[in-house]
Amino acid sequence: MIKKILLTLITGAWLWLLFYPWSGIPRLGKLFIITTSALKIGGVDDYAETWPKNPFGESTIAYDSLGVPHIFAPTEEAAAFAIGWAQANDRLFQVEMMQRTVLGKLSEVAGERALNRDLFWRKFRFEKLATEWENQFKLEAPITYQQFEAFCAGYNAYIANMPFEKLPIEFHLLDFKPSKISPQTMYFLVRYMAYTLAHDPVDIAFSATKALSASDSLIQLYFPHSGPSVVPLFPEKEFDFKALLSPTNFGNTLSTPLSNLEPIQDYKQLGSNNWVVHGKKTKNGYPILCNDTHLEIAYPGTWYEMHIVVNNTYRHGLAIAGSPYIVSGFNKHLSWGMTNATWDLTDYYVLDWKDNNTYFVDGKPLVAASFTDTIAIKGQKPYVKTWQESIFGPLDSINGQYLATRWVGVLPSFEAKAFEGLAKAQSVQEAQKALEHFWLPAQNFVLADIKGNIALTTAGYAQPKPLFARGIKNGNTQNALYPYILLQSQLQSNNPEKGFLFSANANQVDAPNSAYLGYRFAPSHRSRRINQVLLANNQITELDMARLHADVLDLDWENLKPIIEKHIQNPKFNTILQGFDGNFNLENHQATLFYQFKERLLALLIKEIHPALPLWPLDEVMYDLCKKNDSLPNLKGNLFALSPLFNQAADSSLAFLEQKFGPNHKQWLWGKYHQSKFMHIAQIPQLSPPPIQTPGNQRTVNVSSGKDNTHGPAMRTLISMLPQGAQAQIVITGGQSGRFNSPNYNNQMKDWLQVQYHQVQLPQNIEEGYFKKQITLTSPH
Amino acid sequence: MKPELKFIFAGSILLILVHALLNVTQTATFLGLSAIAGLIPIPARKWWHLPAIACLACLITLALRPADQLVLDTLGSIIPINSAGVLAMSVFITVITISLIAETTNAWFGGLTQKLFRF
Repeated sequence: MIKKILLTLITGAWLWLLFYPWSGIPRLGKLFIITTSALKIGGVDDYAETWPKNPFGESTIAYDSLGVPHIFAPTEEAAAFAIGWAQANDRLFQVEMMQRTVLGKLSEVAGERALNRDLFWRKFRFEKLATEWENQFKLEAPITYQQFEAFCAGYNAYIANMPFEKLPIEFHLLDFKPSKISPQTMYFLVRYMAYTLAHDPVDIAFSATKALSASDSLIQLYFPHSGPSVVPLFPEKEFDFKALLSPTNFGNTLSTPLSNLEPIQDYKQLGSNNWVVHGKKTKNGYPILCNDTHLEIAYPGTWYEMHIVVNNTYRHGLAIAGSPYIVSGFNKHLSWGMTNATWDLTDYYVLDWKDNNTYFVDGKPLVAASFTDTIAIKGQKPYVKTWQESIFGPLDSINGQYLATRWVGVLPSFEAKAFEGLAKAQSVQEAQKALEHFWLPAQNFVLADIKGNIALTTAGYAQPKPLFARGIKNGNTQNALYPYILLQSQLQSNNPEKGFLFSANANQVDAPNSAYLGYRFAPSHRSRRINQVLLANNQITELDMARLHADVLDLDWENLKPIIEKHIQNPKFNTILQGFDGNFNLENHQATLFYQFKERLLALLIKEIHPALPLWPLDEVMYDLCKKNDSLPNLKGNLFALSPLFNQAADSSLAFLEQKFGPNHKQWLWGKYHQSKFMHIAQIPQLSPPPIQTPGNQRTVNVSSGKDNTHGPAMRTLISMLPQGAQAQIVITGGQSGRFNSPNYNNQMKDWLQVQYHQVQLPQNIEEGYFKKQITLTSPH
Repeated sequence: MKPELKFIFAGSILLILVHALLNVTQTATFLGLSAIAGLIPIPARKWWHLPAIACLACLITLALRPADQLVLDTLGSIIPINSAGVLAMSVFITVITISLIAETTNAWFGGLTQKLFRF
């Protein structure tokens, strides 16, 4: 009996040890016992063991050699089901993370380290808002809604058929099962992208900067309405906010000192490119459209390529996993691509609080609504938080201040209708009509059709404001609520005389006396360079456009060369830079020195203006001021001389590179200095490749940016619109698959680095020999 | 071949077959099968017989469906132990779990099976 009891106790203790959810590590029983362990994970062909029936009709998913799914289906619903299944197979963990991020449910699987991130998102209550939006969408667009339901059914069928042990490794390491998705997921993905592209804390840093300055004119000097060399996207337009706003819509902004504020170095910001050339400027007489979106180059990448054929009508392009729609791509008649409009769509307010729940607006007391949230945390007790909500948005502690946040992301939007319209559009005009449904986050779309038309349309919510509205606002008056306005067709240009259109996150209009749309427009380098190249060539070919995608000319060289020639006294510095052409190729050693110089010069200038400047002026603003002046004022109004700073930057650049790479300057290759770090989305270093040498910098068309160079063109498309249809070339970072052990996890990286593409094949049928693998989801009927 | 060795092989194969036939995916089913292993009647039972069955079952499973080397390497670097360590740990934990559950089941109910099969 003693043996029996002892054995029972030992066995019980062993099982408890194995299956107790110890904080921080996956349950050992799940991870290591052979029947359920990660040892059973397969590679790219690790499709679910049994394929579900497609309740909407028989459909085939045929994978090409890069793992791009070509989906053939009789109806849109049947196609949507198959797309959902294919995306789940390739990007299950990525969709899970995006959905959990917006719902504020990361802590549930990642533990306390994700709590701050969850708290940021929870205050916006997207779970509640999405239910309201879904009900409205169901009524307004029932057919589109049904297609999205079919997409979710396909995705969820994959989860239902996939045993735990074969799920991607991330689920094993974090020890949780994937969540199902619903039509609300589309809203969450749009908010995730809206956060990346249109959530901006710049107002906080701006107010903190204002607090350091004695004079508004100094602020205006360093932070002008637009940079000195803007090439506006719609040069013919004057966007007059007075026509859109009531004259009473003026609130006051505050000068607010904030502690613990990380400086915002605007010159590090990202951006995307797109351009479209009319047939009158191309060698073959047909339009060419190009796009590359600058995002974090994570593993897996943002973009998922797919080809959809429904009833012999096709569309092809790049989607964001978790949604059935092609965001940048083409059909037989039309091609399209997008960049971020880069507007300031986030406002912060200080409220006039009287007690915990009452605040005053226009002299009247208002009671803040409150709600309580319980956030599950892995391995710990749930975290309970009570939020307060004002007419200016939810309140939260931000950099030591209790502020209300008003963000465009909480507005309703139905992008599905826009992308559905683009997929079916047969002309630029039809596409522009469809884009009236594109609301969030505002984007610049280039368009081209096979009839030879080209266009640029900026679509989405804008928030025009007077220039002085930059900064944290005083929430003591309703006049400080600047309305969000849908642009509809106000910003568009068709078939312009010059024969091309482009956007590179630059200012849409250059109207200093008109509306303030945003502060964080990209510096003008990329847009000027694209404009320069397209203007100069009237016989443009696809090869020229590929070269423009690969262009690494930094126009800062033009700006700074005269300063260097005039002021720098260090002969070694001048000798090394002799003959430099401004190109940031991997083998160029002059680029490394020039980059060091301009970075150091900017840092020295900023330090002189104020040693702890919360918001850095744009680099091109600073270099322009350096060209035109011998001295500049700091924020207290005292002048500092520039020439010593130029020489200090030159001397310290040389000293740094000699110490890092040795005295032989021929060894200071840009590729050795400039290496990009591409991380796995869950920040697991073992699932990320080692740093890669990348050409270009933050200011070149072939961009490489972000802290640790983590951002770049996450995809490139090059599409010729021939009379018989589109001829397209595409490349994405990483690869199609999110499974780290798939051959398609990283197989496009080499092409991407060399700015090579794969030629898109457009089979209308399931051809013998072309596809690597086919899966048929049969109809249950 | 000694009778107990025959039983060890037969037991291992039975365990593998049951795993395969039931498409074992859940931990609970695994634990249930481990208990069934304890009811396998082995003549002249020794303490090492059930661990031996479990060990053989593990090795046959791995031989039939070898683990992906990249998965092993990656798991080994994340945990961090090397890939052989991952494999060894996996076999070790599986064997100990099967053995303990099986021995406990055998201690409580093994006599019934022996009577049933008249050993």
